[in-house]
Amino acid sequence: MTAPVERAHHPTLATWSSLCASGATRGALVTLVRTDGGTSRILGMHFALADDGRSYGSVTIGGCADGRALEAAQRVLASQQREELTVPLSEEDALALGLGCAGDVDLLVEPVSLHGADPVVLALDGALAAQTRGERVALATPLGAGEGRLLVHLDGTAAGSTGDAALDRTGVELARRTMQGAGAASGAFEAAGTRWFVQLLMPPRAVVIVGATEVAAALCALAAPLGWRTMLLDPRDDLLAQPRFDAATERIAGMPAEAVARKLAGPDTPAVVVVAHDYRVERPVLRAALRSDAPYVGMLGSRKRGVGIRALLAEDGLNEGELARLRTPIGLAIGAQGPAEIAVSIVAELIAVWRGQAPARG
Amino acid sequence: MSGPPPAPYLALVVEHYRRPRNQRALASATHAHEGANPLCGDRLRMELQVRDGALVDAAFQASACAIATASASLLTERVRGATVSEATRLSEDEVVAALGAGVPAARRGCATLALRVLRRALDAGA
Repeated sequence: MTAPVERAHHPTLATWSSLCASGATRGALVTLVRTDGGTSRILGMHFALADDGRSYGSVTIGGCADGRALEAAQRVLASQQREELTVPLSEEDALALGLGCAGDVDLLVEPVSLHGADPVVLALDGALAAQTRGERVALATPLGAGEGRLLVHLDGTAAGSTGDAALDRTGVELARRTMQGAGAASGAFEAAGTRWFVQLLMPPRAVVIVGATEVAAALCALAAPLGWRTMLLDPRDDLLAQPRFDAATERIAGMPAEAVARKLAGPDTPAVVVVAHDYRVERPVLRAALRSDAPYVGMLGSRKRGVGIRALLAEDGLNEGELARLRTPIGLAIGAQGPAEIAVSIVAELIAVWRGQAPARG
Repeated sequence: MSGPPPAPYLALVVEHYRRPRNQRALASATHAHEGANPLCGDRLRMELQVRDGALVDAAFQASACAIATASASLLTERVRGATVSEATRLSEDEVVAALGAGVPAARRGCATLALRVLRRALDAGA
């Protein structure tokens, strides 16, 4: 018997999840609602302070802004009054020493009662459930004199409240429009005379892993704390059932190419990582994957093997553009050795591709 | 690039942070205490040698921001040779003022950490 796998939630919901699981009855929730552009900060990140003194999460990546967030959370927990504050990312003495980060961030600090009737609880719990279902949703929070929070689905249904029916309608419409807009992104918006923070929550990243190998086992284990969904495909039922693959979100025994085609046909197309190291599996799977919208198609193997598989796929009718999408050797070039390090290099390359930072391949 | 002129305290803080005075271990310490600012993470240890009611020597070690380090540096200079009575009468306002004008109110805890640790050291003994 193996221990259950702890799967992380969306990065911006993990702190909320921890606060709810803490058993505390009240807390202060700090939300990052504006940043001046640093790439390592994510709008909507939370820091939470429970009434028993335990704290969770971070609104940045550490540093003095987190100390100020804790200070503000203590104040709000005592006063039960919502606050908005602007926090410098570095103090002026650090800047004078050339060691600081310029700019600042805006934080919303709210008291929360950890029971179902609190609109913030209703909205954030609903967001967690939507993430589990793989649904795209948005959280709308009125800033300024407003209060509460709304969880808005694509069809316009909502949970939570701002305590004002007219404001609720404005927030729902704004969130729905933001979700549907081209290049939609989280941020601050103005609607009907109210400032809003709208946070888009996309479905978790999904990766189809082909081949129940040690690299696959390591990949599933690394993906779990990142909150990614992993779908492990292999023709061998007994092998797939082995405990070392327990970290996979889903295990699918059958014809890999058919299973891959089914997964690629759905919305939010997953990445495809082929680690079978078996041409019987690789060729039909890659034929389907390279012609799909998959954001990433990689295959474990040497450059020589890559040349060989590309030649076979060309015989199958794949064009140059389709063949150029294949990432093999797979993973970032970090000199990885052994299954676990190879898995790290693949995870790093997936992050780079999803963030638009992947180095060119040649 | 132009911007607002730096606050007056910054020059002294940076100077003492780069070249802190009396930042060392004091083997002959008769009094010592270690304290921290729990929110920001500054941590500072003050060691004193007291003889016949006077601070013969004072030294500190710190993992702290520039303001807390500079304040400890200035404070040890100030109390070396002073009587225990003079040292304990030093106020937080005096210690903050010694850094120069413009120390942000939010950083008062950093500026006064060394004084609070000094007082506890004198209370506690070695």
